[in-house]
Amino acid sequence: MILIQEGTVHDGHGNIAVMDIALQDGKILDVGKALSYQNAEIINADGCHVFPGFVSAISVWGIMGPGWTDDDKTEGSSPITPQMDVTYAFDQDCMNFQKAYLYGVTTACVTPQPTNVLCGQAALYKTAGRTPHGMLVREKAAMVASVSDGVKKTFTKRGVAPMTHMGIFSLLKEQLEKARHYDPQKNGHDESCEALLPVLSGKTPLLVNCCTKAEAEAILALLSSYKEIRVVLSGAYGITDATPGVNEGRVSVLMGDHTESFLSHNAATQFDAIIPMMEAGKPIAISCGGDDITSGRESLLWNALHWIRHGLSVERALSCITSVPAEILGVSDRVGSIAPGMDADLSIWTANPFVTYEARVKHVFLSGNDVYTKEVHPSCW
Amino acid sequence: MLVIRHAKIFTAADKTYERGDIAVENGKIIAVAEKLPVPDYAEIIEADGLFAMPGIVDAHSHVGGFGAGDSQDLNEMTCNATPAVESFYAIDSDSKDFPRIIRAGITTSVIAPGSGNVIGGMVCACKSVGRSTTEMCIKNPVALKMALGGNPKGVYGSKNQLPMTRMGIAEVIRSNLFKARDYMQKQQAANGAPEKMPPYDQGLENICKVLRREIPIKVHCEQFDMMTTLRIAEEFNISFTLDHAWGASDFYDEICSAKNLVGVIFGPTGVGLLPGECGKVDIECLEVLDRRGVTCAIMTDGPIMNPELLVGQAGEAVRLGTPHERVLRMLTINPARIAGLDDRIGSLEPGKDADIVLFKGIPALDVAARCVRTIINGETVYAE
Repeated sequence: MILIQEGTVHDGHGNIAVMDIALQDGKILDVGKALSYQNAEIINADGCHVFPGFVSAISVWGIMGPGWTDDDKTEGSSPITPQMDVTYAFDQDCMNFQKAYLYGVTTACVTPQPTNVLCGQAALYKTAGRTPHGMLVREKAAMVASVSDGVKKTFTKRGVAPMTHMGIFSLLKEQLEKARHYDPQKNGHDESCEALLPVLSGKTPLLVNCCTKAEAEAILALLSSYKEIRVVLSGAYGITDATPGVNEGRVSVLMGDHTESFLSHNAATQFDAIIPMMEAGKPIAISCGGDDITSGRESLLWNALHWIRHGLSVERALSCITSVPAEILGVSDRVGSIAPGMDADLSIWTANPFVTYEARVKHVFLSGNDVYTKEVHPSCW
Repeated sequence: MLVIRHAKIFTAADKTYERGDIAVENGKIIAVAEKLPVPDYAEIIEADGLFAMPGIVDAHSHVGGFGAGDSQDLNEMTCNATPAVESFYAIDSDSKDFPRIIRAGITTSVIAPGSGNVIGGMVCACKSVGRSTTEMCIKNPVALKMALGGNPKGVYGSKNQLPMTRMGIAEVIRSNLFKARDYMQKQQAANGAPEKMPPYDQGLENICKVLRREIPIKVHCEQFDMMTTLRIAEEFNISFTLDHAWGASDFYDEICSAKNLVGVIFGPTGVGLLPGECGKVDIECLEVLDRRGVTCAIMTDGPIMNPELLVGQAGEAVRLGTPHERVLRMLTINPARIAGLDDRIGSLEPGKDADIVLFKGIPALDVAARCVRTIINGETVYAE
């Protein structure tokens, strides 16, 4: 039993109050005023700020490296590989090596690199642990697709389709149709169709990497005839409130990275159009992922700060890296907010890091363990 | 005449003003004081509530020379050593990189060839505005670029060419330095007699500038590769900068006692970690290096990183223990000094170029702080 006392608790849903938090068996047992438990280890958080563990909605931690070109994130043997599943590639040594929890990130959605039209299935992991399975929060959490130039680049140089956006969209449509008409009795088992069935039924979201205005418009146009599909636009630098289809309830967004500027699509982001949608509660999360980006542990916080500099409110920015991505990725019952019953994932800072750079991490709890000051997760890397 | 009034001023010259004025004339700063007389004809910028500081200097950048995709002009990867080439000729003054860095408060960038070659070429320094590269460039050469580790290995090793290893990289550097030393000795022995002079070689001429200590080598190196730089600089008695410098916290004693070290140019951070040269990214090293007398700067490696993150990384240095005022020097006077430009830029003092940025909020302290006005050579080139 751990009792965190008197911290200024930000619950991830916009509420702030000075509260105590009790942790037991890796879960949050209680949140309230003046909690009292016998034999509890007391953490004095007076004057400190307490946040839910941050959720990195797009990352390649766990499936990149160890060499620069030796990794398991890009199955580029075909542009259509929906049957691929990151759970077969995830290496806990890679994840532990990042020490993402030093910046409060406790959960990461690990996605294949978005260089295929259909790349495969993403999974959510805790950012520290001993075994891949022990760190897994949810497998097959999303089907990852991409309609960006990254796909064109991969296949054009081999002289095979797709070398245009026409090619990308026709391949995507063809595979969705193939899965829609899939009959294992008639065709035999086909995993590339099986993997898409939960997408077509709306059980698993389809996460589509799109960098430009035209790509966002095109994917929403294509998916307008698949009304069951839950669409998550990622990257999404080209969206505004006027993008046709973006306001539908089934559409949510993971805004892409703004710390990198080499590809420069992110220079086009219309903050003035998107921030009011965020503040109004539209499920738009902030991520540090995108085309060929391997973010560091600081990147998610930096992205939140970037949105704050462009006018997003501090508490909404926090929600956009906690409860909102957790909701979009179907794990809000376990992570992304501070409430009884949730996983005991939280960080304690000496000041508010969404306000000042003087804020330093004091503790990070991950499944109830203090990974910042106590538990060490070695990596053979 | 221009007077910026009532700003909180960080001069980077051992003086800060809680509230003060800056006077500018003919592109130069003429006075900084708590209160300055304002003649009738002066243009006034009311900066009450704003934070004024010297224009930010990015000590390691590739802006203007790295377009998206294949349109790059800073890696002449046809030979492992290309000391003859100059970044100056790669820079597109119309590049969209420049308006972007101006909005982030960067007024001067030290623009280097990339790291594809072991010896990449000559480095120059440019202001962020100008009608041409000639007008923007304020110093050429600043340094000779070199790169250790995975970059040149990746380029040439994949072709079974030298260098395939770090052994090969050191060999490329040392053999070129020996060659230039011979060339220089032959020139000296000729004693002005044209028939005795060695055939003119632009690459060797450039390396001779290093051997004569007119310019430093600017070395892309991380982790234990930094020790290779130290060793070679010692052997040839040449001055050097450690660029990127990830993992510097493993080598404090060696770095702090290296007598030919001009400075450490750290960054970028916020990158995924891999074993080897990307294994340790430790911006907290700046606190110790600075305290022990090393001139430190922070870089974005632009356009790789969003230019706003020059200040963001400075904020991380503050978070991890470097005093705020010392960190602001790492964005201003320190990079200016490393580039040999501290007589012109890097601080707000009479006689210096009027490169001034105004922030709303305090940069590297308030996360929401943003540049609201950028002034270069006394002209406002960006205003929110």
